[in-house]
Amino acid sequence: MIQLKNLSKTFSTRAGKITALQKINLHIHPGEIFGVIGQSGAGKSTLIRCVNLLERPDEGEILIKNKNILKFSSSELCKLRHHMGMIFQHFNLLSSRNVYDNIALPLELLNYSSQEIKKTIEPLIELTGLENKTQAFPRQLSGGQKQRVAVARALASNPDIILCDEATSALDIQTSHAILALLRDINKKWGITILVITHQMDVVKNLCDRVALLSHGEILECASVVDFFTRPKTEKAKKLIETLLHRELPDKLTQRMQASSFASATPVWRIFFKGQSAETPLISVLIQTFHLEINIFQGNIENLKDETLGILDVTVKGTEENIKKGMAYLREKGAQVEVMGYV
Amino acid sequence: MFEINLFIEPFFQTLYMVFVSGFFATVFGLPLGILLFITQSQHILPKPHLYRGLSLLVSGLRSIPFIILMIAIIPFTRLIVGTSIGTTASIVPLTLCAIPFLGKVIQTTLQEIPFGLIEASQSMGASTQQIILKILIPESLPGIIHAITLTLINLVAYSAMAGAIGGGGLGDLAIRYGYQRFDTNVMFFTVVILIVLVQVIQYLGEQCAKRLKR
Repeated sequence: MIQLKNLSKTFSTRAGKITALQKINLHIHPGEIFGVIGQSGAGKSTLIRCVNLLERPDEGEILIKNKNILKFSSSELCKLRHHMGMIFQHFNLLSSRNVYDNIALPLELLNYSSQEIKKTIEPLIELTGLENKTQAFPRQLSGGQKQRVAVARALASNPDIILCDEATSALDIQTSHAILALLRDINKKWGITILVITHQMDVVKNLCDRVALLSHGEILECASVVDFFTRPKTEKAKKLIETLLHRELPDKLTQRMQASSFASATPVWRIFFKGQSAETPLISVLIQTFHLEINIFQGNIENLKDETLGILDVTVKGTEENIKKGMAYLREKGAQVEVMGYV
Repeated sequence: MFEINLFIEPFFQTLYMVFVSGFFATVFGLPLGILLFITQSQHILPKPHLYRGLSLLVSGLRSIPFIILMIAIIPFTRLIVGTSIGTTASIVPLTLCAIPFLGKVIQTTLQEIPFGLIEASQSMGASTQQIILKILIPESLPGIIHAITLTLINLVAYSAMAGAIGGGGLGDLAIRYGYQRFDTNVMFFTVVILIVLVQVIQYLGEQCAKRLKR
């Protein structure tokens, strides 16, 4: 659906040249929700704005439905944009128009008659739950309502791609979950491809099928959400994911932790449970069968879109043999064990 | 004291000058302001040379004192209205003076529209013309009304100088009676009328803008 090939973009500012994107390669499939996560300044906004050419890349190709949009004439580009919705962090609604007219805007631009507009947007008003608000002006709406209007507006021209630029970053947790649920609905109902950029892990966890990690204009990882959380390929990605998930080991532990084993060392494990393995009482088996002394010092459950992922950080005391056996048992049961260090 | 009839003709002359030149100033000044806004670099229709040229012209025209402008463009005035003296003739320099002023104020007003809005409309595939008509003008309408009000008030002040080319009007009356004949009463009353006129224009403009503000 969307293919980015060797995309590069550099901005020249007074302070010098800033590389926003460096040889980005991505392939987003039809009907999937693809997330790009990164910290601020990573180049996420530039990336998403390249997809509808609000920003022109310096190098590379952007293929949408196998057509290189960089070669489009301005009228072809307008046509392309008519069939791509975009949602923004700050909503960008017209303050001079009420809710109904804001949603109608993309259709007005296409010169639809007022009856056609009515027919098209009434179901969208219902879908977004704005029935009572059609005559209200944006300043009378809450952030969540404004973003609902923006979603309805993005859907009005019947797009097959929706771009979300930090769509939930200005909202509180509850509201943002409601917006994410709405986006999931839309994706399921109409199979619309959604490209999301965000700095919130929550969005990736709750919404995305696949995700790419962007850092300093480069893609460090690109994987399914589950793989992304459980087995990042590069060290850098691992670090960033830990920061973004608030999953770093406590300082008290890291200060005395060593990378390699030593006499009478206690290993520190990070155990990932996925699906099935989360349902077996693995820890109690470790304690009872292998006589290990397990000390849990942090853990949490991540509810991903299609799967539940448990993460447990523990220290393991016991004989060397039993520790080995315990690890083999966990792996056999489908859990993933990672040795973080020794204390 | 003095005849009230004395004021009637100059009053209508002032109204005529202010509103006719205000009308033409809007006709030319609004597009000028929009053009200044959209041709800036990094904007929706970046034309750096055109922008530089227009900017220079605007600031050049605005820095010429009105009384000098009025005399300097006499040949141009004659070309347009066929005469270089009289009330109608004074409309030409008044308009010419108000266009760059209004253009500049409108450019500033448009600058206040969040750029995200313009980007959002671009992302929907809006053409430049659609952005102007459906986003820029409606979103800044209260500001545009304000700008026009401000221009009209300025025109009231400038029209007082129109007497220099026989334009008539209240300002001219005040100068002839008050300054040249030491008839303080006439001058005082003229000033009162001018103050009321400015207040009325301001009030109407504000009401209009308020009604449009969302």
